[in-house]
Amino acid sequence: MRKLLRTLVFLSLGFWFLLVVVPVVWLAYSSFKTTDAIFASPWRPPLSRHEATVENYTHAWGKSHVSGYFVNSLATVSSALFGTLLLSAMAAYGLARLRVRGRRAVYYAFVAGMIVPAALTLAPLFELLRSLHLLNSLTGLALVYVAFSIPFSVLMLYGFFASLPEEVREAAVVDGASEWQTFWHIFLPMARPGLVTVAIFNFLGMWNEYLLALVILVDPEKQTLQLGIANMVVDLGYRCDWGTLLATMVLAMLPVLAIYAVLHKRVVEGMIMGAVKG
Amino acid sequence: MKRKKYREFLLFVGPPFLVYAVFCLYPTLSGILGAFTEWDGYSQTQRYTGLANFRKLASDEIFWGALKNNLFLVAVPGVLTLVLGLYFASALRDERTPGRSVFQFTYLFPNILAGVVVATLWWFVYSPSFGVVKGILKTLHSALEAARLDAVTHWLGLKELAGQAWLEPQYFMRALVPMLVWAETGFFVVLFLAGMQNIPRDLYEAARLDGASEWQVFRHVTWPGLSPITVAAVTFAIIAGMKTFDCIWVMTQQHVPERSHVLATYVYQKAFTEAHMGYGTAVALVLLIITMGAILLAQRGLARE
Repeated sequence: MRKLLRTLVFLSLGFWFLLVVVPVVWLAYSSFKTTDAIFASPWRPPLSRHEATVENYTHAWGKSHVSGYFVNSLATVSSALFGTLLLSAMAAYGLARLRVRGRRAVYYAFVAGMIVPAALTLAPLFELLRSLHLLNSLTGLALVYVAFSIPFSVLMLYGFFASLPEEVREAAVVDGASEWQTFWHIFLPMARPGLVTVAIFNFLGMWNEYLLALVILVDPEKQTLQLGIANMVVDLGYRCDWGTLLATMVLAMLPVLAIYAVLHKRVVEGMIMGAVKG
Repeated sequence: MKRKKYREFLLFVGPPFLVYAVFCLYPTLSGILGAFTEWDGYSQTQRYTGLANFRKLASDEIFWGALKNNLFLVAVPGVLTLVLGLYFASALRDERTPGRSVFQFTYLFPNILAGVVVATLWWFVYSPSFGVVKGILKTLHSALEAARLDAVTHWLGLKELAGQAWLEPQYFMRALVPMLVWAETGFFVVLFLAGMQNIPRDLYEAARLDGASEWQVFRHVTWPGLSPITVAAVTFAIIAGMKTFDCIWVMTQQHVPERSHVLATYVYQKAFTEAHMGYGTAVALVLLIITMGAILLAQRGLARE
């Protein structure tokens, strides 16, 4: 009886495995089929030579401006990520290590940002960025990503910096190191595991972000991958180019998949901390 | 000495706070105030109108429909993902289960995909031209035909169902359920699994020695031990259901029919498509308040148990 139960449980695990894997695998091999072949036999993998094609990718990368979207996404996310890590680490260090009066209040002001839903800020952000001439600019979007990532990142890194021993800092100060040197050369390297986890968590969030980009970026040349894909779905209504769309989706997935495959543990760690602390 | 310390504190905390204050705090506060005004986003005038926006909301049927849709998304896919997550996590906790790490790895995968990508993938699934759903129903149809069970076909209404446009407003919300469960379950599996790892192993050993059934072990060891994680998971599910935007926006091809709105899409529609930024922001403020209320209520309820 117990054995039967265990088998059934295992079967259900396998069923869910297939449910997750099959659509993704379908997406991967269909992206190498022509749109005609996708319609003619949606299920068949492109096994023979005349069915398989890389045209979707060359077409997406060249004619459909996906290379541009990709570069836009990459530039925005990497600069926002750098800004987030640097600024959050500075704030977390100051809050955890420089014990001045009123720092608790500042800490809470930072962390309060975690409950802010993007929807509430959309209209004011639009106005603010327009008055700063940062509307429709990747710099503007990156700055907004930084500001929205700071609360959670400060919370996480604060924990890391607070847990490091105070003697390390005292020794450095006795040796005549400035506060900045202590931070940059001693504490930052020690907090590396925390920084990596925070970086991955923010990378996934920024790479996949859609709503803020939709409000801030207007020009077709300025769009990120997610905006590009969403607009291609609209275009399908009057221009039937499924092959290109599938190829673009695969391209958008690749960086995320690469990180997930290599740093799976850290991704899980970041997500769990995000849920438990957030 | 003390001044030096303050100066250094300012050096470290000042720049991050400035960026955070300008691009996150200020828009938030300005949004809260903006909910009590009327402005179109183009002219310079922002007129204070008191509670007028909220009075208008009270009789706005699209708003109520959107709120109902959000509550549906919290209740149905939310509960399903929590239950499935708990089930799969319990199954994977057992060290005798083969392939545990493979399952964990794949289950979480949909979670790291962009909402836009997931929505587009499922848009194919539901597509009336060659969707997966249509394919399955057709296969079922021909199987039943081969088995001469036409009565069953007729009773299930398979012919009509196969030709259905699943993303039309009357089915739209229900059609989202499988997609959201597909995308979110893995996260809860991983979360609950992490929680279970914190439960002392000797509790399980003791339960096994006492001859407890799987269900009793779950009820008296796993479930109580998980309570802090359950609170986090429920909170997360509420937030996810309330802030849904991407999948609806993409699956309706960026033209959300009135009946398919959720609060976030309605905020966007009002503020940017129709240039009623004050009204749109008022909807967003209600969204925030209801989300926080729901979280507090859920946490209270769970604490009592």
